[in-house]
Amino acid sequence: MGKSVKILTVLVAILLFISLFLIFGYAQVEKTMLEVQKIFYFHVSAAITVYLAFGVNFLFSIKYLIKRKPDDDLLAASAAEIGLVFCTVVLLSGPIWARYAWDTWWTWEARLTSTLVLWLMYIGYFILRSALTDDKRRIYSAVLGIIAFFDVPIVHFATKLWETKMHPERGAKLDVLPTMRNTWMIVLVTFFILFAVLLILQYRTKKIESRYDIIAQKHLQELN
Amino acid sequence: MRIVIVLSCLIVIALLFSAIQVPIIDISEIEKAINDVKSESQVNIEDEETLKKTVALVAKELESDQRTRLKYLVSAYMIIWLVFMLYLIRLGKQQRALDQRLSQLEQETSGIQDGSIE
Repeated sequence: MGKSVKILTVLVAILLFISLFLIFGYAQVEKTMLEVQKIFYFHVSAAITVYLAFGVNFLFSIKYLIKRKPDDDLLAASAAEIGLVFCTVVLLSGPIWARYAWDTWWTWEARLTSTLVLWLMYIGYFILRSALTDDKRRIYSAVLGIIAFFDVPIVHFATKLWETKMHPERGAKLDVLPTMRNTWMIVLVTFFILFAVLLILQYRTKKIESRYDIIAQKHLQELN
Repeated sequence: MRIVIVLSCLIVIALLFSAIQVPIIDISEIEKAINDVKSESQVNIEDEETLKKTVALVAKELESDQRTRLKYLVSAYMIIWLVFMLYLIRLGKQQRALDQRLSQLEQETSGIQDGSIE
């Protein structure tokens, strides 16, 4: 692990504990949802980090298709993997909020359904990657990464497109107090740094793995 | 790595459980509060016993509601923490497996250089 990554990792760990302290000790309790609203800080921040992660996957998938550099494919796959982890966090924390707010664990509402579809598409992305080898894997997964990303704007604008009343509409005026806003901003920044750290770690691992495969293949050829 | 994971889990569990301590209001506190209000506002309460019982019931109901909300809150954060921890454990395992494969390859290639592998 490089020195900069170590510093970033320590920073993320400290920021995560500060975030928890701010959520439980500093941010005021919201008037309608009361304590349950505090799920919002990690839930929404994770959802925005999902956009970022799949956005990185989208960009590097396009870059791979243009330049055909294997490193771009590795970066795209790393970003997708971390995006999937954050998407899992969103899909697991959401129903707990929904149980209290809407009196149900799950409903086929537009945003929920499109988020589940997004998660399933990136699961498919990794199934595809594990089923194919080398060039085919890179090309097909890049194409699937680009197609899957089109669900991100659908998730984001779902409440407007289908006029559902369960999630707040985009741009809706919410009664957010400064302590709540500050806390949320810190959690969001923490999640972005966490994403960057995980992306670097995952990318390095994948790169060493691919180098290992090349060396191992050469070694086998030499033996034969 | 393992120490960090275990330590972080312990800290988070402690943080969350300290955050969910619901203050329990007992009947003596209710009586004291009613007496304080009576003396401060000079309100004449005719049926004090019924009032005490009602306030106690309301306090119990509010406590129960708060406990339910906090259960949801803690469950959500526990699950989020668990997802991140499982991913970190997976990353660690991936790194260890890679290290093993690399050292194995290193041994094999050094064998070729020494001429021990035909």
